[in-house]
Amino acid sequence: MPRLLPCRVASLAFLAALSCKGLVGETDGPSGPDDPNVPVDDPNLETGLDHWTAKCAGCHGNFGAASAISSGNANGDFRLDANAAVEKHGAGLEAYIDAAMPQAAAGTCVGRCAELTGALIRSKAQPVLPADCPADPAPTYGVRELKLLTSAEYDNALEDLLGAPGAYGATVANNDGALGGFVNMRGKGVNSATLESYVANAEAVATWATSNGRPFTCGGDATACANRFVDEFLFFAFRGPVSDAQRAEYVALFETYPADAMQLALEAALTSPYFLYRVEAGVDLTTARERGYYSGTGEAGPTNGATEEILPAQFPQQGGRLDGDVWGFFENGGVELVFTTPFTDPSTIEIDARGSNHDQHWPELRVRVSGHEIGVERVDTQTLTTYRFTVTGETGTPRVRISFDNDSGVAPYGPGQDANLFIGSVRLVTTSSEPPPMMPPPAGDALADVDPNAYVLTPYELASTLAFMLTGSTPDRTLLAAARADQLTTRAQIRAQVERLIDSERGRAHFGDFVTQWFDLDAVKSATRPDVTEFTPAVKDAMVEEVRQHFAHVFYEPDAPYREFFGGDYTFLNRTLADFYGVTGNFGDTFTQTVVEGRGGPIASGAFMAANAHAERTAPILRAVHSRQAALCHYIDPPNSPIAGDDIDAQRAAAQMRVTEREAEGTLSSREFYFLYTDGIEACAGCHEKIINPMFGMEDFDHVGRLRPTAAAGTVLETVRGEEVAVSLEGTLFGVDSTSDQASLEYSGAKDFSNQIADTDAVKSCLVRRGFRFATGLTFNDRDLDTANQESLTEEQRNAYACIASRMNDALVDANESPRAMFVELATESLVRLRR
Amino acid sequence: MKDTNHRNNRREFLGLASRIGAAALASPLVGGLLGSRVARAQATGPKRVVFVYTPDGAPNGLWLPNGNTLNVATRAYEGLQSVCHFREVDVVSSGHGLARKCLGALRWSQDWTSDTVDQQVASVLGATTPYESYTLGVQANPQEVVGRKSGDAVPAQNSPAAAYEQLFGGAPPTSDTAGFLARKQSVMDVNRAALAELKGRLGTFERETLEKHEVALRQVEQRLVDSVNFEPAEGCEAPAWNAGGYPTDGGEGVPFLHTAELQSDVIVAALSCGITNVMTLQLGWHQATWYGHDTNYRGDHHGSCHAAPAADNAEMTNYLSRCVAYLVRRLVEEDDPAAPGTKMIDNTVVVQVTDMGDGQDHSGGNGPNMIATRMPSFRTGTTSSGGNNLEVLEAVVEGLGLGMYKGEDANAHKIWPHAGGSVATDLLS
Repeated sequence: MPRLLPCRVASLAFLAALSCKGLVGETDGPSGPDDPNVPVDDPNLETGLDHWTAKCAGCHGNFGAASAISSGNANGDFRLDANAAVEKHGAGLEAYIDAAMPQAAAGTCVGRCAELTGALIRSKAQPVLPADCPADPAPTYGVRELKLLTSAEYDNALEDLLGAPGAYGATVANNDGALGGFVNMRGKGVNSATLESYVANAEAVATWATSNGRPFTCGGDATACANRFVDEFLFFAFRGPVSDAQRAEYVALFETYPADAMQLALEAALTSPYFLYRVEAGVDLTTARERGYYSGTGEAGPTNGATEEILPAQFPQQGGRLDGDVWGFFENGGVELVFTTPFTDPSTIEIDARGSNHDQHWPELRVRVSGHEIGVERVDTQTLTTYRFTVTGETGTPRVRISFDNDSGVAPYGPGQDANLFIGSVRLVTTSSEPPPMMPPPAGDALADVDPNAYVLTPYELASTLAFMLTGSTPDRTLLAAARADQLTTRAQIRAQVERLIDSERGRAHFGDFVTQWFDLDAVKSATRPDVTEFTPAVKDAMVEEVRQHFAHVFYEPDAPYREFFGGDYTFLNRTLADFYGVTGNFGDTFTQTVVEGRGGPIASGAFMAANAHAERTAPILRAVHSRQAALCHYIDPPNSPIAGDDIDAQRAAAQMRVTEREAEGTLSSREFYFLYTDGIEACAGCHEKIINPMFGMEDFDHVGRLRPTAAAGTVLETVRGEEVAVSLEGTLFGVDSTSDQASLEYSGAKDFSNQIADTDAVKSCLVRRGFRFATGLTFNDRDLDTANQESLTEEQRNAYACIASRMNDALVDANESPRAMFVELATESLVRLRR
Repeated sequence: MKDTNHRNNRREFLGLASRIGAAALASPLVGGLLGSRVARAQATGPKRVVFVYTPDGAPNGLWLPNGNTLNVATRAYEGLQSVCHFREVDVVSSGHGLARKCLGALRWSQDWTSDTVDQQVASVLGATTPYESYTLGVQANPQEVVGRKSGDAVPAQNSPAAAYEQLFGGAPPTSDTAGFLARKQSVMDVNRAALAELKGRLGTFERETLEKHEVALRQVEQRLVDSVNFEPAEGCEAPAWNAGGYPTDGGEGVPFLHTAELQSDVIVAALSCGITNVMTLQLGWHQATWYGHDTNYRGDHHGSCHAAPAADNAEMTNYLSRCVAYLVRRLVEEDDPAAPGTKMIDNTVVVQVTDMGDGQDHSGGNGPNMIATRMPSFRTGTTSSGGNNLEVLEAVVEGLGLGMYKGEDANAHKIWPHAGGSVATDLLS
């Protein structure tokens, strides 16, 4: 039975602050609801709804189907977030309404009216997590998608397909959208200006590629070249099979323009919708069943063993030669390969191969291991196809010989000029002696319980989805080969690929991007600090890498639990950063784990602290708000116009006066400066009094992320315009699970804050919440809905996704707080391959 | 069907050319799509409009001029008063995250997919130009862009260099333009077929997205065709810009004003050359994280709102005014090649909008809006106050003579009415 996360509601927004002058009805509302005989727990809540309609809806709008509506007013209305209202006011919600609502006509909804309205609001609040999740989860459905590649995905794909260097994505005008703080292209299309950018990029990449022999050079028969282009490039660029119609288009292109064929074909491919969009639409259930998707009937593929791939470019110079991105045998010959991964018994050797045919004479592919013949396959196709050879009785790292022995020299071509054999990559797939953990038994019909209205991703779409989800790039050859070979079928097979992708170089970079976006680390790169010349771009880059390295450590090292991301007494430095921080030691260009007092993790880091600062001062407000939002997933509404009361100008002027008076007495620390500016302004008190200003104890870092010198106990020295002033590091976090939680933490300085939250449930659940959003683009939490993009959750989605989050949390905890295990769990969930 | 025939004919022609020994076809790159080569192919009597977004309003009492006497936050307009109408209005739904609202998604609160006013106006004024509209930014946040069309954000190009390259860069080959065009169109034909195939495969799912892609493809192709059929007008092949010699990448290391001036240079050149009649310039975003490079106040604009005297906030607001004033001044000085004897400002309206009244408290009152033009339908050289920002946009639509396109049927009308009100009485002649 999976462990359940505690059921809780999310964090705060400010019902208190909302007003809507002049829009509230003047009537007293219906008389019926004030009848004391009407029970508050009226199952239909119609009476409360009457009050709501009469007195509240003018400002707050009507509750829709999605009952918890963000009050972020991004859609232009000051709508009510029921979760936030209940969370903020707790048992005092009705009393608040009684005393202060409607804000422009307080006193017109008192007593029973306030009780019934409060009851209505409470009924609309939604739990973040369901009370229970089934032990045997039912199929869960993601969302059908057609998404443009993000800038990073676009660049990565160009590099992986062609080795094209450069940041071409950045030239596409300002085009990366976002959902929930992570780059996401849902709902974004192209216009003529952005399409032009793609066209210009394609021209540039194609020119570079053709001048560098990429993807291959082909001077022979145009039709053959075209087919080779389709099979060896387009299949990967389009992440799956190319239709006959599209093949014909490219053949025509090659035949019509033989001199420029590769240039034009690449231009077409790199501006094709099949390349520019991630297609995750699936096929209907009937079709999926007919095609046997996820039926578990595929050949036994990789379980949780290892896969090692040798590309043709890595083949030793023996028989044959490299021909584009395949190894060509144009006459009898062979090559000998040695994998570094030890064989297991059994192992599988997978070889991607295609042949050429002359007079029905096809090449034969022969495999020997340690001199023993394993098998021979006739390669009777011009399409790159995977051939598998099961090897038993071998361990260690034996020699693998791949050979072509039947080149018979049939007339009229003569020896060496008839059939040819072409080898793509060669893979060793080992098996594990350990049974795969927590695997359901192979399903007779894995789609048996699937909703008839659901869509099922094709194996190629699944490969693409997994690749972008886990590596931020196009699927590699191994993954597409698995799709082609019907080996993305069982959960065990999918899990093996998921782990391989996560552990790949691209995967490591991708999860570095996750933490970079999560904590907005790249903001430091645009931070300008004119007074610190040594705050160079190299230092800023190193600051970002410092946190990425720390996250990679807890992500990939099984002995390093996630709590060490916040609570570890170490960080990762290279020479550039050590010099800037003033840390002595023997550092080089590589980042090394280093114990540094006062540093470590995403909060107590140079990147976070420098980014959350101003040009000449630190920014204690930003540090407080962004620490809560990023590390703990607390929600703090942006301040908008309704907070301003009639006397806001006078209150602000009074605050300004206090600052002026205190500055006349001496230099103000940033802590004092921003406290005085925000203290005593009634409209701002809802946030600043308890949520933000008490957290001003992270001032041990200066505005470029250096630790300030210690003064008296619990204080450091801040230099403001050349003058030193002592500043206290005392801070209090009121509310740990949420901003209104009754728990609190006292701390002294940023690292102490980080240490103290490290072992809380809030930190772990925030990882789950952000990880789910990053990987799927979805959310299970109403508070995370992006109203600017019209996001909503159905009741079914809310519950099903939350149960996945619960299982992610279980995986995290069960694997010594391994984020890697959490993402493996998520990527093998049914919502990845089932859509609606 | 038309496209298929077109393609086949092209291929037949080129195949023939190849067989008869034509020289190997050169493959010059398009680079920019040569919008400049269709320059000034518009009718006389041009009407143009530039919408400028500035963030966070202005401090109460420090923006609206007193007659011809400019205020602290509008000092930058010195000498331009006669072409300006400064108007303080209530900013409806003032606050953070509302940039697109201040540009008046006209059916807002009711229809999330509605277009912002620049895109609606562009559907009329941009119908015959290479680009229906074009959006530029200065340190605009990709997630908070001001324009929306068909439910999608209209991205702002933050790099002046990239914008200049796209609008004016590249050149078609000097020979074998037919071959050049045919090759490029063949590539587009392949993708037109791919789009059709994908549409068929997906049925109604995401059809709108793919249809938008098809439209974009047609527009790009049309610009390509036009680029080889027209010579660029004088001064439009590589129009002069960047007299200050500033860095052109639009990065945050470049002074905000300098990038704004470069973008204004691009705007003036693009309008002058007839590349488009509708441009949008987004100066920053609602969090106002930009810095002034030569201001006495050393913090960012956001800090001047919340942790500084109002005078500092006014100085930062005036910095934004300097950006807008540079654009207006360029339009005042530049001859209008499409209407000889007139200046660009005589046929162009600059509309400055904002997302808050006073960024210091996010309130909506006294929001700074400004119209700059010498089009006779507008009253300039004055100041006024009252009404709301949506009414200003409605007045602009009327002032541009586009009232006939307004209507409530989204299928029948290109511009949707939204505000009504009496602001037009003050803003229009």
